Amino acid sequence: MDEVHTTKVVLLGRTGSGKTSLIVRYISSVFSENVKPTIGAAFSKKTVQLIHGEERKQVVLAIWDTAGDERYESMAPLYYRNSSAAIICFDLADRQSYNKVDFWVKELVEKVEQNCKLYICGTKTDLLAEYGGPLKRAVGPTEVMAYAKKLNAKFVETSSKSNYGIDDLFKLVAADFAGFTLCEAPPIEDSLRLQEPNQTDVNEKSSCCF
Amino acid sequence: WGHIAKFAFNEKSNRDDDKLGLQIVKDLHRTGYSKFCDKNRPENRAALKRVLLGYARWNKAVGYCQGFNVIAALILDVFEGNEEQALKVMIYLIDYVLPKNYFANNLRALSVDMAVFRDLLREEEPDLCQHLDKLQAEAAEEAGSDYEPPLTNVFTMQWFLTIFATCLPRDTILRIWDCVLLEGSTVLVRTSLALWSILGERISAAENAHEFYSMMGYISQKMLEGRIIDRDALIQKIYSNGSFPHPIIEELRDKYTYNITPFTSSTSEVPSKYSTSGSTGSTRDSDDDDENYVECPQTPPAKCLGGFFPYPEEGNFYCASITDYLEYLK
Repeated sequence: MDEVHTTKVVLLGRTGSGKTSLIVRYISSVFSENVKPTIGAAFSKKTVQLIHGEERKQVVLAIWDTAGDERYESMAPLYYRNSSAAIICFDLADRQSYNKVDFWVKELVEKVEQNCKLYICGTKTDLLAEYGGPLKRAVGPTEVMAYAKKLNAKFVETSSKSNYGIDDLFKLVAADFAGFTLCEAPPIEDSLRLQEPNQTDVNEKSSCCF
Repeated sequence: WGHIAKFAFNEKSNRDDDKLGLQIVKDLHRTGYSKFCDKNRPENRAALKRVLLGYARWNKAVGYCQGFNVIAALILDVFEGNEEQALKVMIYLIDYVLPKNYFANNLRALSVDMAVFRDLLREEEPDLCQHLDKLQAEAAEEAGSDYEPPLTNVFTMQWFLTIFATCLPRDTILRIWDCVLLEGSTVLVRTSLALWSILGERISAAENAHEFYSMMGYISQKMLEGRIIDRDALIQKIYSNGSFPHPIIEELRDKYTYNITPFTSSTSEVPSKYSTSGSTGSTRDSDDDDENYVECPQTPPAKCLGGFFPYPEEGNFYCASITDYLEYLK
């Protein structure tokens, strides 16, 4: 019988930064452009299997999605309290969305969520020109990485539309929680390593994360 | 009205429009109604935007609130795209039927209704509440936390904020909205009570908070698809819960609105039945000054949205809203 651990993960970020889409992709493997705005909060759960040599662990991620509307910000503490991980999302093509990241970081720091590991997640890579999309990056990866490093946070990029980086993000969260390091993960199909990066800035990102 | 409509639908841009517009545009295709998702029908979305912007211009204190997109889309659909009619109904619904400050002022009136709802649910479904309290307490203990939101909160809050528009199928929503328009906003509390009561047996099977939330996620989806909840039975249940006006909801609303409610030192304390507040009520007249409501020892604490904040050491701490409490923490 594997060891089973449960941990609470919260998603925060500006409205339209793709929090719900990220979770829906991860849980249900689907994507919709028209996902309704989250009112208040929403809960999902998924189990991640971790294998490290002989050691096997199961981590149940109890994931809280939150509302991006500033009106509902005062409710956020209910859902981030006692989280072991906060995934703070921003739209890679929207500077305002990135500017909001710092708000949530400060909020978590101020409310003394010491045990909460921070993940900064740039979403919607599919929209970026470098991935064949129509938009330019609103914020350079070097800037985000420097910021993440300062916070001891991890920076990842995802696309819920093209299913890029999502499983890896949640595996990373689970592995961090369980005290597994990703580089030691076995090279099996379900391995925790990110797919091979093929671009310079993505490369940088990976080296920053792992 | 002509003047209001002219101002609300003015094509010239007002000072606050840009920021509002940006937020509104982000949500236009996210209503759940295919009519407004269809990229080939941009005129539908343009109409929705005009109605939402019109409302935000009309009531600047409320502005645009996520969830309005769903409400406005449904109204617009009912009025077959007549924007002026849709705006009129939206204004009437939000500003004249729902309690004041449902969406503004830190959702204060919403917090009040949440407290009222919980009192009544405890009265009507004691076994269910006891079970949910147990799960809540266990979840708090497991997390090493001294508080955990009441389990029903996250769903009830969403129901209230969208007037059920994100949780039930269209024909059922319209029946409930008819009731709201005819009978007033207590229908919101009655409907929530009826829904939880209908779901009671199912959710009693949940053995822990996560299971409850997962189960409710599934149930919410089924409800939206028109399963689980029988429309006529729901309406009957809403109407079988007390007379109109409701004998207790308004009283409880007053109590929670005007009482500046003390945070007590016990999270596990089960608030006394609302009937005990009736006995307090008899000692005061309805036209008493607000000051008389400040300390009301026999009434249970409202604890804002449900007692999920840690309690301060001193017993003399008073909290009027979440924001006040967060200020206090700082």
